[in-house]
Amino acid sequence: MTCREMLAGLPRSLGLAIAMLALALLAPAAARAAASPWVGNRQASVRLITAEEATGSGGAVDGGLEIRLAPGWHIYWRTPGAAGLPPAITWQGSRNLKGAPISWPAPLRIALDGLQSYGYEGTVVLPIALRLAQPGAPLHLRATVDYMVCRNICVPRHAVLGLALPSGIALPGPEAALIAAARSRVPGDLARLGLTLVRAAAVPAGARRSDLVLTLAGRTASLIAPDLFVEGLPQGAPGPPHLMAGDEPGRAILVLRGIEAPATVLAGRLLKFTLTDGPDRAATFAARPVPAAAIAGAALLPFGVLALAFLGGLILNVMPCVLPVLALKIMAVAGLAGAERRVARLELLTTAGGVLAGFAVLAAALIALKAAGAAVGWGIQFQQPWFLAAMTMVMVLFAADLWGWVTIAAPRSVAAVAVRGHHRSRRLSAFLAGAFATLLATSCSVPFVGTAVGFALARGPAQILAILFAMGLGLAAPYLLGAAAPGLVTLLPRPGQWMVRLARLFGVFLLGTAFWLLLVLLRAAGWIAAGSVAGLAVLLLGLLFWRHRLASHHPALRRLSSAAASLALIGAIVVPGIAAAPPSPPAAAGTAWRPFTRAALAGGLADGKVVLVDVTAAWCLVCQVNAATVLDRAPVAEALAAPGVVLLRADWTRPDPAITRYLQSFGRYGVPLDVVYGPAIPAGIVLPDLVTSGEVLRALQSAAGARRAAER
Amino acid sequence: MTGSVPFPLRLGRRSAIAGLGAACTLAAARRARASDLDTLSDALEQVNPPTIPPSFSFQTATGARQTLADYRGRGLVLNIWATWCGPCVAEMPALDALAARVAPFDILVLPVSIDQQGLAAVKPFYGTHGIAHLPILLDPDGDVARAFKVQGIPTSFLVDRFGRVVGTVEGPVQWDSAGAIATIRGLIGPGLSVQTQSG
Repeated sequence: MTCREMLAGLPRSLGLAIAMLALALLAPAAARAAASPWVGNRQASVRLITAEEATGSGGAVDGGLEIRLAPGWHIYWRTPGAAGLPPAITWQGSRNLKGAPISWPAPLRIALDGLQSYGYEGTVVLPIALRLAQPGAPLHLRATVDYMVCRNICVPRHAVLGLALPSGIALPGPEAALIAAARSRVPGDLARLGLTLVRAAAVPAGARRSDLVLTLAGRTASLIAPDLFVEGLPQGAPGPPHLMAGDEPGRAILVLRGIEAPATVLAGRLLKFTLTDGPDRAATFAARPVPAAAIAGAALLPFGVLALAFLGGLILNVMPCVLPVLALKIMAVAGLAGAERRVARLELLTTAGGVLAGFAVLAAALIALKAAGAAVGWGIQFQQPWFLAAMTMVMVLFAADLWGWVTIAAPRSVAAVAVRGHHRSRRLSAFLAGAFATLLATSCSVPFVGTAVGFALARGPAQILAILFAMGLGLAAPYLLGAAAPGLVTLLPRPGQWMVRLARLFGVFLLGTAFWLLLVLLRAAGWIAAGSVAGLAVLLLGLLFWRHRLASHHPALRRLSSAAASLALIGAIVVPGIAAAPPSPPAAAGTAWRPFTRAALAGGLADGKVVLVDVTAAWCLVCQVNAATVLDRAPVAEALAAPGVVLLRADWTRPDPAITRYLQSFGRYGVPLDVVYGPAIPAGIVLPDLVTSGEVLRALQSAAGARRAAER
Repeated sequence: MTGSVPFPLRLGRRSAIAGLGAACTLAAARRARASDLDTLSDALEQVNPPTIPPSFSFQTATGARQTLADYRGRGLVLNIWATWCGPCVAEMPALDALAARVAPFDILVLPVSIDQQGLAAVKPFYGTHGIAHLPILLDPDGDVARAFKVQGIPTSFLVDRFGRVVGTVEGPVQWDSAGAIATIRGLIGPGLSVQTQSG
């Protein structure tokens, strides 16, 4: 990567700079100047400056390269990140110059479509120590500067700058302040920020990636919006770090996720870190990360995680989003009443097998997506309008099935099965009921499940498989229990008319679920899509009813109605993809909730406010429960309405890469996620998935704590 | 009982589960390519009437010299880029996806790298960034950029089947969106071979 290369690529018209150089060098240096003329254009220009107007008697002169950029343009730091080139200066043609090391002020993070670059915007001075070969003698500087400025395009630039300093007393010139200010932005050591590094660890995150975890001690509470830049990585440029409370009071943990190197490669490697916190605070330090098993604070044993996953699966059985399927399953069990024990056992095992098979498919899909580098998540399929439409129609179909209007192979009309006892189709329907339960379960991120799935998704394929398998076991546990003790099943009432009535009632449950899915679709894709799917669902139901009422001696009409029903079904899945409306402007006026952005969060924190970030989605039942029972109710609602509290809501109903990244910065791959920030806890406190009033109030109080202390 | 189930619904069983599984997978996969980049229609400057491009040559990975005349008859998306250029790197995955999606219409994507190290810079880049559908084309001397007098890179040119420039694009764009592909096909026109087949 040479300077010549940059020049080679682009038109020579920019080499106009050379003409300027001639002027600069030929101009009589009689007037004492501590700056060269600017060379460049409106987009970007550069000049040489020195702090003193003469060389004085010291061995070096404090100088600098000042770069002025038009808004939107940037140049690069010494380590440019994912792509870029730092400015390069050669001093050929200079006289009395022994060396000119550059000091680099702390960089800014510049992200383009997820690609991380490090650089500077606006006006920046790169301080340069101009070492003299002969102290006291005049200094003639000739600097050839090759640099690249980028906005949405990159333009290599070339400039030749000249500056002459006579010998004499080194009085500070007008540019001295610029250089001093720039020097103050060159990162010092950690102690300058009142911090010490406790430990740097490389934690495996999959086979080819790892996380870097830095534990800091000292004045960690003063960290507001830290950023961390790493030099010396084999490849890749990590995104911003996540700040977490440490394992001990007064400690903070900075986590850089998704480093493109295995932990074994990072361990022991000398890495240079630059920590910034706002424009004026920066420190640089080197460390060799030690290999570590897991992030401190989230150090759950795999067994503990598996147990959580199992428990989560068990709880899923009674979660509202799985209830409709549970209805089907209850009937599958009820259908066994009075059946022989062997058959009952087999059928329960089959349902359990269906659940496990469903989780196996899910695990395989997640592993494949993760391997393909996709942003995976728990429940993100509910962000897809056509998926919601398909699920709505599935619900309607099954409701019609339960009412006996249509006979679908899966899960077969229970009453018919119970009476006729086709063993093969019974087993198939038992299996499919299990698999279907799995599918719907993906819309719930219940307590435990969120943690376990998040853990799994942050790890490798084996962990994903193991954890989803454990969760499947939990969901299948009631059936496995029933299979182990088939005597329990015979306690259910004998099959009879009550089952038909129960089936009708469950049909209503399913229609209710379909209605809920339509409401989610309304949020995700707008009125037109939701309205047309609703219309098609009603049409489908009507057609099925009509077909049911037509006696079997109207085969032609029945066939016609079946064909029409199929068309309605296909139409419902196709339409929302076409009719999906663009996102509506979020957050209606009148509510205290503002849409979440990183900037809003940083702004709130900078103002010393307490900030609550609520990541939610229309399809997430737990989120709705949290809002209805805790956040929107006294006493929490009153506490949140206080003037010192900023409420930010991140709506993940539709796909949103920024929110996905925020979730992933917590190692989360699902909603809900509620985080409270404040002056006392700038790193944020993550609230449990299912929040309680007490926890929210306590979190708000402790986050605000320092502010009160400071006011006293 | 199953015998009475009419054809479309009888398909239900296995295909229903397979379909739902696939739905999950697809839903998640489609979500993956969200992008902050501009759309093509925002960044595109149409060249009307079309112009004849300046003459220049570039090299293939094997060192063979080529010019645009070697591609006469096919639609081209000519992209000037370099591995050290952030915006260029940002749009490479989209260009790679575009290449696969416009190939059936006899449209080629030609990314010409002006990296001075040539193959030594570009080949590892294709490997680490998983570029699978783009040819390696090199112009270590920067002839292409100079010939077109580009302001900066990335700059792309849409070239029709008669070898005429019909559009220019400055900066990175979402090349692989359905809208971009429709725009490119519209500007470049139908494939000559396709025309003969249908006519």
